[in-house]
Amino acid sequence: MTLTTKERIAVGLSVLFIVFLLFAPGNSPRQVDMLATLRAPSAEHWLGTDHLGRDLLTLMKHGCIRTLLMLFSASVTGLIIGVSLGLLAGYFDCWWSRGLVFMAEIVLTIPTFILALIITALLGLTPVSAGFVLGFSSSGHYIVQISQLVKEVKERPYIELLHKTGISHRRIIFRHVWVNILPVILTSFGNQVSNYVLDYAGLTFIGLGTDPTQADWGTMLYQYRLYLFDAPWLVILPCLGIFCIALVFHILFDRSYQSLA
Amino acid sequence: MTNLGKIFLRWLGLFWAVSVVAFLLPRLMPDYPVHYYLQQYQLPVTPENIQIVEEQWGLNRSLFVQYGHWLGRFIQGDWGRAYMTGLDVRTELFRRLPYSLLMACGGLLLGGLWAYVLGFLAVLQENGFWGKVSRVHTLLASTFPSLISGVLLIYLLSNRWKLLSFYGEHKLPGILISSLLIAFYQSGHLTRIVIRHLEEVKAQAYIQTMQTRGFSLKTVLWKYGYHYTMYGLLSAMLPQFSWVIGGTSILEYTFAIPGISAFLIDSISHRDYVVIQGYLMLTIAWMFGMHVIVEGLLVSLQQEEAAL
Repeated sequence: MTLTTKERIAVGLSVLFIVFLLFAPGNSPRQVDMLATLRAPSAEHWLGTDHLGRDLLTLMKHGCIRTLLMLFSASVTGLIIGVSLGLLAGYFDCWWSRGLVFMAEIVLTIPTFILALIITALLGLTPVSAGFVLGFSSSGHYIVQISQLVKEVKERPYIELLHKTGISHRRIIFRHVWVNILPVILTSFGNQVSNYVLDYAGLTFIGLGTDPTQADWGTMLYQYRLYLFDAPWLVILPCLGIFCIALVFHILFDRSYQSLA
Repeated sequence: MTNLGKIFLRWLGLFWAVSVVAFLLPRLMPDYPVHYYLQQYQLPVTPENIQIVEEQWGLNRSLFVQYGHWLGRFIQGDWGRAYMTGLDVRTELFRRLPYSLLMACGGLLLGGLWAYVLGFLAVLQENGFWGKVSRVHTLLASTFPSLISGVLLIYLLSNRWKLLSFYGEHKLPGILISSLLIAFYQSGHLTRIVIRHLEEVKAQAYIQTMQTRGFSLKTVLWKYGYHYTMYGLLSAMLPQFSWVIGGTSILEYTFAIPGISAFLIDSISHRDYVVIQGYLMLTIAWMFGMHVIVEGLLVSLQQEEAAL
């Protein structure tokens, strides 16, 4: 993978911004100061304050941590469920593997965002629960795609030969099939990640089951949308955060974008 | 069994499975709709009152009986009444459906058209202006949240320039802008599909031979790349129809458009089982309809290509 100079600069600046947020000093995101509302950036408040006098840097920092937590939760859930079941469903062609693919198709039929909206209303909207639901929804894609791919790999002559030599299924799956499907898994993962970030922002923007005092970037955007022209930095900063995280994963992992480049 | 029979059975199975999910999912929610109902009418939440409402709504029966009763009536066209508003769910969903369909279908079709045009122009000239436009477009569509574009447009068009009113009686401006936004976000991904397919056609030996004979790349790609690219584009658009139904929910919410997703969001907050069930069943019916239409178009494209 080769990146152009402009892409390297964009990724570098985005990573720098994310790292800055993660290690920035900050207090509690719930600490309000009604005597210091809508302050512009200063030495005391590096990124200014919001309509409740909360320090924007602190809110951005917590928003960043929560978004990364959601990303971790979604990625782990999607990959563990999707890859393991996809491998099994593709390798063993029997009634239960067909049942697995059918269940994956059910998940694919229900729109991800709607499923996430309903389930997070059920579980409460936290980064982990949202990540779990978004990851679970994406596992449908992994299962269908990987099972098809494994079926193709399984029919190759050398895999049949390995069977005849008495090598166990587990060894064939992890030593031989897995290697062939890994690049496709990584590409699918790259495609999914920026979707997770945007979907999570959408869920927290609508705010069903969310705690409005928590500093999620979507929640902040919903609260600050009224200050778009009076205090534009309130809207620009969470937007920039979402954009930076989505941009990094999109440029680094999304192969279809790279092929376009 | 014929292919058609298998497809029919598969969809019948999907309908049944989604009906089970649609029925069980809302019932797993921690809050109870009866409590919301009593609170809404400022009635005390006593066991007696709960019992009366449960009997009225049929929630006192076993889950199995409730499911059978709901599915039986659903098939006959009676989708039940919303707990909070008392509205007939089928009538209300179908009253709101045109708003969502106009946004979703309009946006997706416009997005497909734009993707084809942009992709075509980008392929004609390597590293040209349109290629750069398509890359920036794809990048923005994948990384910039639609909710912000919506809010920004509301402020610019409504507050700043006073060109359109989004929260008045007429919903057309909101629907129009939402469709354009959906088109923008959808075409980001679809342009990549178009470019990839046209590049494959462009690399074919017969295309290069025709170019050496004096045919312009534009003419050759238009004539011989159309079927293959449209096939890829329609195949990619099919799963997007599912995204679009969910994706409209943010825009319906932002532009206060009374579509089906806005109805769902209200109903989730009140734990209105009947509406959630009706919505999910409508979604699968929508996906079924789209599959039939798109599969039909794909078969027709294949036949046309074979005839060439």
